Amino acid sequence: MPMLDKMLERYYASRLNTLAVTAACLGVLGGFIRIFWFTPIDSYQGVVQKIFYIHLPCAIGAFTAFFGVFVASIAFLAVRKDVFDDLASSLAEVGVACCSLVLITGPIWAKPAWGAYWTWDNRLTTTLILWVLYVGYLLLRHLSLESEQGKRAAAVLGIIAFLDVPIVRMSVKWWRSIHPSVLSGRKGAGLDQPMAETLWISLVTFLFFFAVLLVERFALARAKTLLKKVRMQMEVC
Amino acid sequence: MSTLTATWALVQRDFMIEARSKEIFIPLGLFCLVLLLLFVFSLSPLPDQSRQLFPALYLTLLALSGILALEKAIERERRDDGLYGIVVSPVGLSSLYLGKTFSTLAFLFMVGIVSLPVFIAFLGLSLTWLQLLWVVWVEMLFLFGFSALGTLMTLLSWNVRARHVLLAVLLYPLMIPPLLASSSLMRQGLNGRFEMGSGWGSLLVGFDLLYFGMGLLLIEHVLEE
Repeated sequence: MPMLDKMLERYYASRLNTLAVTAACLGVLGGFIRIFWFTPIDSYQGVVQKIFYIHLPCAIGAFTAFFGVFVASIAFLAVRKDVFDDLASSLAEVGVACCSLVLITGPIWAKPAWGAYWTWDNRLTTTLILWVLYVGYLLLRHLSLESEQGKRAAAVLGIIAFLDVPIVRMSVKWWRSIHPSVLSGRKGAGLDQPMAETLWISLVTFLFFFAVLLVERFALARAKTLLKKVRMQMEVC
Repeated sequence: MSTLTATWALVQRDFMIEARSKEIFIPLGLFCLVLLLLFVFSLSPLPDQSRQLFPALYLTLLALSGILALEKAIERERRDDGLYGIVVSPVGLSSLYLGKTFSTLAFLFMVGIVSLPVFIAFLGLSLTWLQLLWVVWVEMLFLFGFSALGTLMTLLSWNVRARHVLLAVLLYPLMIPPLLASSSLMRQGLNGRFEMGSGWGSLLVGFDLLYFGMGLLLIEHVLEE
């Protein structure tokens, strides 16, 4: 897609990327300041509850990225444009990074809240399975040496692996779980006003950070693909 | 050649090769037995625990053996360029997928049936005929999903380095929901509840159909070249 490549070229030529990266980093820093200095401490769980403001945006980031992999994989199989394959691989990397953060922050919060770093709860287990699946997806991409067949295999896996996401989402409802169902439709996730505001701020700042990260990774993947094409053309010549 | 005829021809072919080479059935049965011995020795379950342990142990060992069956079947095709031959023949890719899925299901089902009395004897279980039939029924449903997804995943990792490890890494996480549903259904059956309409029954049948449908839908993309 030359138009998208031109847009990326302009984005970098006008130094917008520097602005975006700086804004994203400052946003996350600002979010941290808001979380740790300007948000009241939870009367029941104490200071450890503040990890929730990081844990939830990471979880939303991971699920959104994996949904993106699913859509980009279908698009790749339908039209066979490299741009969708590059997008899927970039989204998977960002998704795995977010999911890893979820699996790191979760146990840190769980130890004081539940008394153990890990329990074989359905939500936790299905999230771990999800992480393993997408690490497997990245491994498949790496081991198939970016061949055409490897790209197709990755797209097929990207579609199948997404099946786990609804299970993770619904596991709290289907099975008894000690994990709270945060996105249950309650206004502000049932939090007090300042806490709900902090949650929204951290959601916006973290998701913006992940989006900037995705653009950077996608631009790199596009550059790599274009370079490969140029090399192939040179070999033909 | 209709899809059904081609599928039946491929299943017959796999059975004929297996009858001559005996590469899958006997080694798989023995592997299952060795794993059972290892688990029983290391867990040393009490009679009460054996009844609770049996469904998960039985299905897990079948899944572990199943991956060997999948690998062996594809290794055989690789060795003789058999897969290439099938792909370029008038047999459609969906027939190839169906043939491979059903022959894997048949091999694994036979291994499961043969090893079931050994499991019952080693774990000291006493089952009624109805419970036995229930176990076999649930096992078949589990193995159907396993074969459907396993065949797709094996063909998916066909040309990939370290495919043996990768197959396990990709297949087992996706098999956890069906495994959970099947072992829960078996446990319910051992406690005298034979309900397929429960949540677990729907989950198992749902995943079976989903994996089978995905396989049929995506096989064209996996084996395009």
